[in-house]
Amino acid sequence: MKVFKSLGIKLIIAISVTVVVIMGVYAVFNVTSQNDVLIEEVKRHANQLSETIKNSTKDDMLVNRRDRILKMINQIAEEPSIKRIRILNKLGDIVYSNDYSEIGTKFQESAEICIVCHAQEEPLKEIEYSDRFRIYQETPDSSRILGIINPIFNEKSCSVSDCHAHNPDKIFLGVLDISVGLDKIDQQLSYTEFQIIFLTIISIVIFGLIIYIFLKRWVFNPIKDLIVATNNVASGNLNYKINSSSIDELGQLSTSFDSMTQKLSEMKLQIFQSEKMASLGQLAAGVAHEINNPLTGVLTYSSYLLKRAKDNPELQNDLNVIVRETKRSRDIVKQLLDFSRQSLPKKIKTNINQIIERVISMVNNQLKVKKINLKMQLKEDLPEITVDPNQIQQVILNLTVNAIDASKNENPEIKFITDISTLPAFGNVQIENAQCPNGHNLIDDSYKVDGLPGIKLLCRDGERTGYLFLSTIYGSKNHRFELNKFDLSTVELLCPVCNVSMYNESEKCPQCGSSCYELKVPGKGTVVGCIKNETNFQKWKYMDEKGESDYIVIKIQDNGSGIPTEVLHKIFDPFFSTKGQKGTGLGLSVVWGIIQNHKGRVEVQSRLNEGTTFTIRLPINNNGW
Amino acid sequence: MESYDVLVIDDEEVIIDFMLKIGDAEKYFIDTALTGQEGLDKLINGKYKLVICDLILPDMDGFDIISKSVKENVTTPIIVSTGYSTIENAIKAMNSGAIDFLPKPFTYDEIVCCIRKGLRYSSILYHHHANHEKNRKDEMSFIPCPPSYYRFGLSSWVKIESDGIVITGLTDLMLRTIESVDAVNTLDIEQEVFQGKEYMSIDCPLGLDHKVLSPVSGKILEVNRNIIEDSKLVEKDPFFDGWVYKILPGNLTNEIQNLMSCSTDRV
Repeated sequence: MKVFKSLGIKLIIAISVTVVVIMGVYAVFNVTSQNDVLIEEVKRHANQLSETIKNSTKDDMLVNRRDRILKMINQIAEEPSIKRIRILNKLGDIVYSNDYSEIGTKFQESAEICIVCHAQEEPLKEIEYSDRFRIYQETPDSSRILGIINPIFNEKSCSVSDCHAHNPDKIFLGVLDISVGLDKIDQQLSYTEFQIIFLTIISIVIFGLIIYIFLKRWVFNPIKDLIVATNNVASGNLNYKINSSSIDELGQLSTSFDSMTQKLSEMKLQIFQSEKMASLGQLAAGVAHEINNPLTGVLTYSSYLLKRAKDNPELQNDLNVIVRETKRSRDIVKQLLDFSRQSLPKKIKTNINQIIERVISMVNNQLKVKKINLKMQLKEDLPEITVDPNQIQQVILNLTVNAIDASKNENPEIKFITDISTLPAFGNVQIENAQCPNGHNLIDDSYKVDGLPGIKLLCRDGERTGYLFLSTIYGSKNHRFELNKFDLSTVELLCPVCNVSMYNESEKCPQCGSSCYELKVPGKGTVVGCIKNETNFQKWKYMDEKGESDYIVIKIQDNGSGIPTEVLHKIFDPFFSTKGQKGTGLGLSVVWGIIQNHKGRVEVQSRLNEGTTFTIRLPINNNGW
Repeated sequence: MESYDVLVIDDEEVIIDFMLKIGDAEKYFIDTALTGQEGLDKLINGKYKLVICDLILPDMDGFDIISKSVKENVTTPIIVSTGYSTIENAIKAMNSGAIDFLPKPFTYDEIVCCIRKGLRYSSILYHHHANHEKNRKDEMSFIPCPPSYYRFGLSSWVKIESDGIVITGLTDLMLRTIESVDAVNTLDIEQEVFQGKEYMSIDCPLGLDHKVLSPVSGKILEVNRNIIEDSKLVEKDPFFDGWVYKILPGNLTNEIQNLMSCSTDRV
């Protein structure tokens, strides 16, 4: 049965068994002790009664008033719990009884009532208090009965009595035997037993429910989330997040699961990117070599002809066109090679507004066909910035083509905005170079933080070592530990090359007062910071003194179909496309790469069926910060 | 045995044909080889002033030809020319001992300029070795790099200052291979430069210009205004007053592997 395989049911069964055992032990102990107390009480009562009867019949015995004795016995025996009162003589004859039919019958020495004293050959002279009582049932179905025997000793008054003198040598004269019914006590005991069983059942149900509720909340739901997340990751959705807010072990498991999937997805992205680049690079290398060879033929011969046609201006003009266009082809192939190798942009002073206008002239036809309303809000006297105009043109063209593709049938509109904005260095500027006190380079490409190479530091905490990758964005808190989590208060930070400590004892964190790590940035002072608390304090005096920096902001807005929130974070991934077979999925990843190369930022805001806005920020001063 | 000026190793017939045409037009004796092995055999057995070698050949690549010719003690200078003109290949060519790197496709003027420079280099080296053999150190054909400098290929030098900034300039040998300097064209300050990528050009007589590859990557902090105003200063004092750029290096730790220390080699 599947239901018994559930962890919850198993736990509840285990808990129920525990409760039953505990309650059972408790019940047995309770019932026996209650039984003992009650029986003891009955014994005391019975003993008192038997002493009372013995004493109150003593006078009548002495004068041998049998009728009075019988009457008294009968009267006392009317009490319902008293089953029988009888007095036996030394020979075992029943002399008095409330049951008249018994009178005159004789008990043997082996009878139950006699065996207390007559078990041995020589009868006992005295009976211990505890030996006076016996509990028995007349038939197996009847209720229990407590019997008490009270020996009647020979006294001086008995041997000197008028009527019948007992021999003074005798110790015993007879036995007073009283039987008391225990049915009331048995009833009470069985009621108690019932109470305890009832309580046990109620406890099991309530225990089970409470434990199930807490287990569900603290254990089953987190486990269910983990199972869903694992299945998601197994089926390839590496962007699935559990986002557990709990801090218990399962919460920690969820958090480390999240960080594992994030690492996986970053690694996958990097592998993706490098595979894409490798294949694109191979393709481009092949294409470049194949095309460059025939181009060499064209360019060499045309330029040779141009030289020889010095005296023929008409021919020279035509040849100039061939040479110029071939040179253009050469530049295109070079760009292809440069792009595939992700080589760095060729930057010149550029007016962004002009680039936007050039892009619009390229897509003008499409805008007209789709009847897209074009709005321009370009800031006049926008300062020129040093960028690669071809690459920025490609960025704007890619985004514009996306905006056109996303346009809807009703009043489609695309809006271009350029503006200047000012942002502080903190949280925006990139630390391009970081060195240890001995001048070793700390920037490491192998692990990307915030999409950029990280600053790699060696962590040592006693025997344990690992790496810490600081984000290169000044002020970013996205620092990542590789493999192990360290105790932040005791971990040492060292240069991975020469093991020199990165701490500068004279720099103290303003938040926690401990020593800060210090990164040397050649030509730009030092960055100090603290990893020992949540605030991730960082200070870069050189940049802070430069103050805020100006950015050119380019916005491309459309009122088209928008991007669903669940894929918004993926749009810059290579090969991610919402256009199905129509798109390569490379457009926005190229945009991302180019803007990164220009030390700019690209952001996207989108609402489904309302439109999308891409915002690009490019630093105005290259020394820029 | 015939004596040639230039050996062209290339598997493209069009290029071979064109090189022969240039030979006719510019009066160079040109020999050709269609495969790496053929080229290597000719190079080892023949007598050439200069070799222009394609990087990707059917049987071996250009770097193999350079390393094998070095093994055979061939001193003929080699120019690498390729359609696969990446920065990596440019750096690798410079590192392996090629005297120049010529990306394909090229124009008539570009190849002629390149050959002329190569031939001048070849003759300077020839005289240098001849002087060296005769132990006439006073008659040096060019001024070598100061020993504390580094050089990138044969044309650029790098001096690392104590504050981590580098100064770059042109070697005397390179300046002697181009006839004379008419003007130098530099980039502006704050621009980024990349090792192996063109970072300045030198105008020469006859409308030819020479491109110079940057020896380091980084950002230009300062350009020597004096050499722009008076381009002859470069020729007069190439290693000190004739410096070109002050650069804040971006990745010197790695890139220094592609530079050669001038203290160990005195070319």
